[in-house]
Parts: sequence; structure tokens; C-alpha cells
Amino acid sequence: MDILANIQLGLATALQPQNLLYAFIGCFMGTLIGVLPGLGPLATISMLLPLTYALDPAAALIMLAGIYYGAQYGGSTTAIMVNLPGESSSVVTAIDGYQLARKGKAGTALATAALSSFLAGTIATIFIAVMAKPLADVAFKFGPSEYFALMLVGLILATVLSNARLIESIGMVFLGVLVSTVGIDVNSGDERFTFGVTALFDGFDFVVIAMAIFGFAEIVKNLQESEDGKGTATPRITRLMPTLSELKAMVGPALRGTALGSLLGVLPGGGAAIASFASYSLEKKMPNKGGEEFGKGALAGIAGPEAANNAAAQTSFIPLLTLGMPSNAVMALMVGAMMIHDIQPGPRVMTADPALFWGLIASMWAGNLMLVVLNLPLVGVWVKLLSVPYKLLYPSIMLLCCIGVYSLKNDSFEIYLAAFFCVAGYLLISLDLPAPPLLLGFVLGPMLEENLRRALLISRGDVSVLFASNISIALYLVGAIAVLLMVAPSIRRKREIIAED
Amino acid sequence: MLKRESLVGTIFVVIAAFFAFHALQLQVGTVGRMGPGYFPLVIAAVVGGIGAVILAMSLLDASATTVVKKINWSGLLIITASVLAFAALVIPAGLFVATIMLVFISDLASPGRNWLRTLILALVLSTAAALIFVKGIGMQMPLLPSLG
Repeated sequence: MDILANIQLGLATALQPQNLLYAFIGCFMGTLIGVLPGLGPLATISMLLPLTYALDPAAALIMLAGIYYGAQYGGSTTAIMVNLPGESSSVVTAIDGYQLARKGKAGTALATAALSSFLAGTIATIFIAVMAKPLADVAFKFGPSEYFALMLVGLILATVLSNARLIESIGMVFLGVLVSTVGIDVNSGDERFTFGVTALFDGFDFVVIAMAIFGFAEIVKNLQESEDGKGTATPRITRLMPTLSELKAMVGPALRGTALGSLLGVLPGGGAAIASFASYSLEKKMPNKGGEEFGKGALAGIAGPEAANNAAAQTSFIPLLTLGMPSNAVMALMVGAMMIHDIQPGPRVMTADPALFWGLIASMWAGNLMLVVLNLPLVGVWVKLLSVPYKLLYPSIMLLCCIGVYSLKNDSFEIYLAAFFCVAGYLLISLDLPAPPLLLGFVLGPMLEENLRRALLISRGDVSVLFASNISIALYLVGAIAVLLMVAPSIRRKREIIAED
Repeated sequence: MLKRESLVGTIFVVIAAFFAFHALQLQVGTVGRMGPGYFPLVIAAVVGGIGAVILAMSLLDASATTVVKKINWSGLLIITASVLAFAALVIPAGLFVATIMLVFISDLASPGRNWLRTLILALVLSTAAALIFVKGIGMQMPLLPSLG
């Protein structure tokens, strides 16, 4: 079996003591930062990126994957303990998780989250291993016009699944594309919108924009909302391991959540948040086999969504690793991280560096294992962090962001840029404009342009080349159907409900 | 009263116009041989078009009356100022001075003053950062002011 051999190769890489150590450090640091209220995986990864610069590529990616899962788990911890979901994917976890915590079963809730995540992680890892090869084979059939179609439809799908007003999300995507054109045009060597500033020749760095918006601008917003700035009282954790009947109650929801999450994670812009919402509404429709009601501490309300968001977090690596297309902002950050180590994400990674590719996939599973075996027992430490007042936290977050931005080029110019984007980003946030579509547009912009120009150069300006292949047409159809469905009234209502939650 | 949608539409149109104006100064080229200005011009047209639609819809639809949220100007000013201070100080004066300024300025953005606590925070943070990033992973960053 090919897949077994590949998984074996992957495990051989991931289970090297050194890489296991990096996976653990990643999980640990990720949870440490991710548990802080208001810091989601994107901000956490941006901040911790410099820690991985000095490592070899495989170790760096393994550590980053660990940070990602750690940050996500940290977000769930905060949601359960103090009802403050750090990011949108743990919003639903807060509903039943916090109720359980108030009943003195915080430990059970945390263990449920970790165990169902682990189950989902294990299954999703196998899913990736099986899907990767066929998808990468498809990717090799892609020419410039197919890639253009993929990028364009990916961008549109991402806005469809985000929960803001559709037209504004699309506007933000293209605004991101527009901003990405700043810098030297690779084809002609001409400067674009640099106004002679040498430091702008390479364009803006993704990390600068991400930190400015999710670090600095977010702090300004938080300071406005929480005027008290005091730590919150946290419930005590007594028993961590669930009983046998509790374990039984979580298996079904976790499996259904895994299936939902694995599928939704592959879609551009879908990812963890949508998956957890979808799973929660699915579980609510399932026959209730006794136990607590939803909204009052149902285990299914934690197990399902947590499994779903973890599975989705994992399968969102699929488009990146096989097509070279990041499907959400976190994956965009991963592209940046891979570029730093001279890895061009795409179908070639699998053949050019199989140990790295399968090692990364196996380390996702190792990362999940770390979360259960090493991180769960540390939960008391994470909870202590929640009692640190925000007044001490935000200067610390700012310092981490400043150092992270500085480290990109060992220069302070990038910090000035971040200050600029902080102001711009805060104003956009204040207007309720969604930032993730902007970032996705910014990342995909250069690929969109490059493939469009190449396709039309080859066809000597014949625009019909964009619709010439079945793959392109199929992609455009998917995009068109998604937009039509979105505009349909019934689904629009659902989106609004999610947006309100 | 300023409607949120009108402002959003206007912002899109203004940014698009800025990029379109400067894209036209570049070589635009043809569909088959796009110059550096072609793609930005097309995207600017898309953004401007979307902005115009949002603006038009907000002007036509009298029922949509989402008001612009209150903006935390002082917070924005203080946080931005502390980032700028760090940027300006880190190379000439080193990590310690830059961090102390960052922490002291950003502290003003939230209520409650305790100089001693702020100083301890600044010292702990800068020492930890120096140990982890500069000593630990070998980041190129001056720690103390360079003399001469």
C-alpha cells in the first residue's frame, strides 16, 4: 500500500525526538498565547513566527502546525472557562462549555474538547493522506487559465462563507488584491505605487498587515469595549477525565463533527468557524439521548463543534499542499512561512520533498496527541493566565508584535508600516468591514495577476482561453452556484443568524 | 447623520480612484501584453464599481440607517504612538529603551496609573525578549544604545 508507506515515512520524520520536541513547544506556545482572550490562531501564529526562522524547514512547519492547534485549543479553553471565545471557531463551544463549567464540570468540558479534537485530528489526518495524492495529480493538469479560475472562484467562495454582507466582503477581497500590487512588477521590473521608497520594492509583507490588524487594531478595539481591564473569576477544575458514559455520549457527535469539518475545511474561506456552527446545528437536530439539554451543558454541544473545527483546521491544509492555494488567512500565513524556508507550496512539494510533506501531515497527528497527553494536564496553568489583567497583557502583546514585525527584515521600517496599517485597519474594523477577505485577496492577488497575464500572453490576448477548459468551466459554475445560493433568501437569513451570534 | 454604508462606499471609491490614477501613469499595455498598469487598473475599476454600488444603494434605501460606531480616537492615537516610538528607538537606542517607551506610552490607553508596576512590566518584558529572541534564536537587534 502506497499510503501506508507514505504514512510510515511521515511518522518517521514526525516522531524524531527533535521534531516531537518542536511539536510540543509549538503546542505549548500556541496554547499559551491562544488562551489569552481576543487572540485567535492568526495573531498567535504571526507573533510566534520568528521563533521558527532558525529551524530547518520540516521542524519549522511542524512547530507552526503545533502552534496552530495549540492556539485553537487555547481558544476553546478560554471559551469554556470564562465564556470569552478568542476566535469565531470557538463561539459555539462557549455556549455549552461555559454552562458545564458553571456546574463545576469544567474539567469534563475541557477533556471533551481535547478528546474529540484528538479523534477528529486522527481521522482528518488519514483523510488528508488519502486525498493528497489524487488532488495533486489533478493540480498537475492545471495551466495558467485554470489557476486563474481557481484563484478567482476561491476568493469568491471565501467571501460567500464569511458572515459579513456579501458585496462588502467581495469589495474587501479586491481591495486586498489591489494592495498586493504595490511593489515591483515582476514581469516588467517597473515600480508600482512605491513612490520611490526603496523599502516598498518588495511590496507589503503579509505578516505586517496581519499583525497590524489582528494585533494592534484589535487592542484598540478591545480597550474600547472592556473599560474595566480586570481579570475574570475562573471556575475551579476538579475532575479531568470523563466517565465511561460521558465518553459514550461524545463519540457520536464527535464522529459527525469530524465528517462535517473535514468536508467544510477543504472549501476556501470555510474552515473552522463555519464547521463548528454547522456541527452545532446538526447536533441540535439529532435525537436527544438523555443528558443535559443544549445550551445548558450538553456534551454533544462541545464534542461535535470541537471535533468539527479541529478537522476543518486540518483539512484546510489540503488546498495549500496540493494546489498551492491557501484557503484562509491562517493558511496564507503558512505560505509565508514556507517561502521563508524556500518551499514553494503546491503539488510539487509532495514529489520534491516527500519526507517534509508526509512529515508535516504526520506531525499534525503528533500535534494533536501532544495536546491530549501533555497539554491537557497543564490546563491549570492556562487557566491561571486568564486571571492576568488586560492592562498587563496588551503591552506584552504589542511588544511581541513589534518584535515579530521587526524580525521580518531586521529593520524598523516594517514597524512604521504596521503603525500605518493599524490606523487603516482600525478604521475598517470600526466600520464592521471584515478583515479576513482583505488578507486572502492580498495573498492571492499576485498569483491571480501572474496567471491571468500568462494565460492571456500565451493566447495572444484571446480572452476566451479563460473559459476554454472543462476544469475552468466547472470551477466557474461552482462559484456561480455558490453566489446564487447566497443571494437566495433562506440561506441569507441563516447567514444573518450566524452573524448575530 | 452619517450612514455607515455611504462611508464604506465612499472609502472604496476613493482608494480605487487613488490606485487607478497612479496605474494610468504606468504603462498599461494590451490584453495580450499587459503592462504593469493593466491589472491594477482592472482591479481598481472593480473596487470602485463595488464602492459605487454600495454608495448608490445606501443613498437610495432610506430605511438602512446603520450609524457609524463611535471611534476610540485617543486609544488609536496612543497605541499608534507607542508603536511608532518603538520603531524609532529600537535601532539607535536598543531593545530595552524601546520596550520601556512602548510599555509606558501604551499604558496610557487604559485607566489606572501605577508607575512602579509599569516599570516592572517593562523590565520583565524586555529582559525576556532579549533572552528569547536575541540570545536564544540569534535575532539581529541592538539591546543597548550604541555609543559613537
